[in-house]
Amino acid sequence: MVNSMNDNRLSVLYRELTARTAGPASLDADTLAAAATGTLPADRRETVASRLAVSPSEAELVRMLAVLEDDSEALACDLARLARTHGRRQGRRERHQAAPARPLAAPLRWAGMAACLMAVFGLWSAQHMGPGVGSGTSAQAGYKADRIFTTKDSIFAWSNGEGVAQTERSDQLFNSAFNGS
Amino acid sequence: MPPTSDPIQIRLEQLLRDYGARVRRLLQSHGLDQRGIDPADVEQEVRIRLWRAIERDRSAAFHASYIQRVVASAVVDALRRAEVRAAEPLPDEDSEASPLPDAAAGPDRQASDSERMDGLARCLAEIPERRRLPITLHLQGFSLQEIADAVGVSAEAARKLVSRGMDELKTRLRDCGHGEFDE
Repeated sequence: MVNSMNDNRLSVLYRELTARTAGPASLDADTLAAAATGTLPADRRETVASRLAVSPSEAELVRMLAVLEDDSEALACDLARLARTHGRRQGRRERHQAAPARPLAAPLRWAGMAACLMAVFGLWSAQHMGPGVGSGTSAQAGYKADRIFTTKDSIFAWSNGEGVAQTERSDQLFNSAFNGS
Repeated sequence: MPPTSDPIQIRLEQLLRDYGARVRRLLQSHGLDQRGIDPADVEQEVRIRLWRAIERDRSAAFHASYIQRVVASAVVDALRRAEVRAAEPLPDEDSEASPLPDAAAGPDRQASDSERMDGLARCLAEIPERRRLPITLHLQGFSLQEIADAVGVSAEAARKLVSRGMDELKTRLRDCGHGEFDE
């Protein structure tokens, strides 16, 4: 052979040789990505290395993935940052969409609180203030008692004279009956 | 990817565009474009696959390993398609049938290389497999550290394995009459 050889020339010859004989890519994407990052399980390393040694396209791909690793890391970080921003915006949008319920919810809440306050005040005043001062029930009871006494008074009054007039009117009825008029 | 005024969407498109462009450049610099694949197609495919994955779950965390697998899968698919195309019968003008042989080389050089390739294959086959693997990985362009990781030895051990293996291969090639080696 006339041409001299060196390691580079030998390497080129070997890659040309294997490019002709390698056949289609047989390693899957996961294996190639793991080979690029050196995370292949120990029991698979030699098998994968044997395949890479005879398949220039897969060997190049593994080398390319090793170079691309930093870019992929950077993209993953950027996507995570973007996802966080998207999540915050989504949260704000959801809160904004839920906001129209507020005009109805707020007055109801205040009305409920006012009702509770009034009920508590009512109970408190019933327990702590004297009868007749603030309690309508006591006042009504006193008023009714007066009526009763008044009635009694009238009863007594009736028995003391007013009733006489009625008796007299009754008597008139009886009288008229007896008179036949 | 429809045009949008959403700043997040715009930023996402920009990120994927930059990353796709990086993938395309690396495909070219690693010579994968000479293996029947179109780097622009692969770039587009990577962007579409990543975009779909993001669309599926906007709040999901994407690890670098997942992105690496997306790229690997897109390139492997392209390589397999190229292999199928290469196996199909070609029209008469087969100018792109086999891009690997040096088209600029003359017939003498091509014949000589073909003979050397046969000699190289024979000599490598004579070397026991465990000693052959570091040599072939070295010839395939892997660094000593990569060879060490693949074979499961230290970098220093890998260096010795490669050095002795290459010496053995050259001796065999010389003995078979396949030229002298420059150091």
